[in-house]
Amino acid sequence: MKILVVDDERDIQALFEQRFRREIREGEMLFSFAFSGEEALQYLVGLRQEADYVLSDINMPGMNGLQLLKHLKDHFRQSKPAVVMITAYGDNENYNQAMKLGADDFFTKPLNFGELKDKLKIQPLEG
Amino acid sequence: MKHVFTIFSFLCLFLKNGNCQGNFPPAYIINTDTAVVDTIPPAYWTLLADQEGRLTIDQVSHSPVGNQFHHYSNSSDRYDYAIRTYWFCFRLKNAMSHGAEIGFGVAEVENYYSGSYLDKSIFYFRRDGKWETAETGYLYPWKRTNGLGLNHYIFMVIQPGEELLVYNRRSALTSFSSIQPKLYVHLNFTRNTLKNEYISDERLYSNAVHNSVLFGILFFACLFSLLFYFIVKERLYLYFSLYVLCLGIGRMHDASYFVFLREHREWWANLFGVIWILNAFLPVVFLRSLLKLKSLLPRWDKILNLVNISNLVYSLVGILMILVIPHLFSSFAYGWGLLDSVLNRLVILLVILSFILVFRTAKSQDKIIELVIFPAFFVWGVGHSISIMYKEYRFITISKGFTLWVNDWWYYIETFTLALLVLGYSWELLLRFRTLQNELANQAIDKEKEKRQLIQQKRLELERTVEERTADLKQSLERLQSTQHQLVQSEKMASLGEMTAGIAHEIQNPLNFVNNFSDINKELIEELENELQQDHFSEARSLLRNIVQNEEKIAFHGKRADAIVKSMLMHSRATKGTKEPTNINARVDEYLRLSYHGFRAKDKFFHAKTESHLDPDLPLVNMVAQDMGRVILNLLTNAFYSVISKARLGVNGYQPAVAVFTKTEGKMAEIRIRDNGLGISPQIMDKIFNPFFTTKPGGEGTGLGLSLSYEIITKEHGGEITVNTKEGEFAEFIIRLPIVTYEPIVEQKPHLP
Repeated sequence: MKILVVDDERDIQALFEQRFRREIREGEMLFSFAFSGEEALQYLVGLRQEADYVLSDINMPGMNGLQLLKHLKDHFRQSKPAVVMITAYGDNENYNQAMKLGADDFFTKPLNFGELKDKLKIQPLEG
Repeated sequence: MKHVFTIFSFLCLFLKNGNCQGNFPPAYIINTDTAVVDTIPPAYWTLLADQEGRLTIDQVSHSPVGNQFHHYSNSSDRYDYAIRTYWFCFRLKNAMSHGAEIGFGVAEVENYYSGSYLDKSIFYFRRDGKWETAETGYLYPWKRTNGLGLNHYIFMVIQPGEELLVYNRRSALTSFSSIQPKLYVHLNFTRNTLKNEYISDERLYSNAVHNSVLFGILFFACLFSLLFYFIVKERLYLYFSLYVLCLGIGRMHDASYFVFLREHREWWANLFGVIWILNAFLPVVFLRSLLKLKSLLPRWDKILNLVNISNLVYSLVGILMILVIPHLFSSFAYGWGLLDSVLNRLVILLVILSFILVFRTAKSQDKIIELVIFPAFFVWGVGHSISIMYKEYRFITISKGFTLWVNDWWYYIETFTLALLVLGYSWELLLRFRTLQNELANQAIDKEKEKRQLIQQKRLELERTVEERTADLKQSLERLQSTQHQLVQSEKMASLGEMTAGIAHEIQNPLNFVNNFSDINKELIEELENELQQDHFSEARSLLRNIVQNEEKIAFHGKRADAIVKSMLMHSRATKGTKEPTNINARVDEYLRLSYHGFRAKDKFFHAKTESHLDPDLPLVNMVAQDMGRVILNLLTNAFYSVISKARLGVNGYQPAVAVFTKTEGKMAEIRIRDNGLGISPQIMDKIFNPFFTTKPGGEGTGLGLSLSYEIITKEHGGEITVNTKEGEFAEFIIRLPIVTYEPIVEQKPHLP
């Protein structure tokens, strides 16, 4: 399972790699990281990399998570990744907007990694 | 032929002889020419009615027409309005030893109003077998009359012993005013009579003159009053105007006959007939109005008006009957005339009574006017009556003494009373004018009062409106203020919320890392214990490295959260620093170098051009040096960050540059920090001073730098900060701080002499 994590906090990479160290070790999950919306697009479009999931923060400088979501939903017809948005707790406005734009799921910070792990494992692949 | 001529001559002679035969009246013997003889007694004259008015002297002096002459009888020869021409025949014989000087007057038609002027007379005198003729009479134009002087006497001398046959054809004008005339032959003769008549002629002239003057005055009064009427539209003035006009014209009667209109007497006679009637009517109309009878004595006024109008209508009906049914009218003309005179006198009586009635109740001022006006009316009334009586009974009543005096002085009395009337009336007019003026003035005052009241009212209304408006405005202002207050409150709440969200977000991120990494470390330590128990040292070492790395991350994010909290604290204590005079130039230069080397330390390949253009005359500025230093440092950090970011984009030939400028701008010190980095996009321009707004990726900026700077500059130092930028090219932050000159600075460097 290929997962692209998009967040401007660089330490997110270390966090994910250590949280999911067993899944990574066993090859269940393959993580890629982008530190801005632009980088994510570059990775998916420019480098033609595939992802089953895109896990994106919303508040980022430059292209934010919602813009990225819109872009992904508008431009990917086939092999469309499931997009899961992550943002600060209780940000209803962003939640609503993300749902409207067609986000597949929504997680709030602080991330409950157990829940996230379950979701990513159970979630059947789309597109 | 000869025979024929002879027979014709004979016939002529016969006819001629026949003319003086039969019913000639006996000759009137003239025994004296010193006595005044007014009339020839009816026994000495005969008369003939000329129905058509077409008979000639030849016809009347011969039979058969001549035979119809007869003596006058009261019953059969009553005046007939249908018959306009009469012939009279009489004979005179001078029994004196000298010639009798005789003035043949007019055979008069006497009537009530206009005297004896209304006829044309032709005298035929038979002398030496021939007819001598002479024309006279009051209706002939002046030039045509053969009469003597003003009285039109045909002058003749009858020789001693001479018997003179006289025919007199007299035709009368059926005047509008000739009601119930009498027929008689009137001769004035003897030298003395003529002399008297001449004297009266003289008086006529003088009367004409003073009547003309009076007419002038009355006419002026008429015009004046008429003008007044047109101005004030009060009928009284119109009545007075017409009244005095009639009065004036009436006074011009004789003068017109003998002087002014003597060539047009018939025309004048007709006109005067109408004026005479109006002369009886208008004074009453005027008087009613003048005495205000209608309001003072309404019933009395009604009666007077009724009688007056009846009198007028009665007279006019009489005239109409003379014109339309003259013959029939003649049969009851006497009775008609009698009633007419009764009505006339009734009017006069009522007028005089009116004076008395009103006088009792009048105010003293009005009393004077009435006293002044009364004589004119009295004379008018009484004169009228006396004149009628005089004419009716002249042969009986004419006498000496008072009556004669009145007769002689009548004109003067009348003139005097009229003058009084005009004077009195003018006085009245003046009084009325003053009253009117007062009324007008009062009206004007009332109007002015009304106007003022209106103005006052309007002012009150206006004031009320203004008050209402003011109250409205006050209310709206209050509403606005409370709304504003609410808005500010909600804005505050919003910014508090925003800030809370910002704080939450900003602190949440590092805290998440702290929590997550410490969780992971806990797991890793457990794993490490397992590995150590199994003596897997290489795995243990790897785990330990991770644990250390994670510890570093925990420490980093802990410090990050700490920094955010400290910055926030800065916000809260932003106004608490102490200000001291500070040399900005030195600070700015120092911070520029410090900042540049800070960036160089992180990235050894970074290179930028730095410039400082400092104004050496910039005075010391009073400020909290620590805070302002933070501001400048923050701005410089941003500038370097921006140029580094731009440099990383790899634009060809890009030379990063950051410059600081200082200068004095009036009473402000200006600090400019300029970079040629990425600039600021217009979309975010209005957000850059908001707390927690940042363009930097997570962890690199708190989003508090500019908001803090803004607070320090504006709130703490009373200055201002503005931005000048073009996206992709440059950004320039301009700080202006007020220069306050402090006494202590001067004291530190005293100029000692």
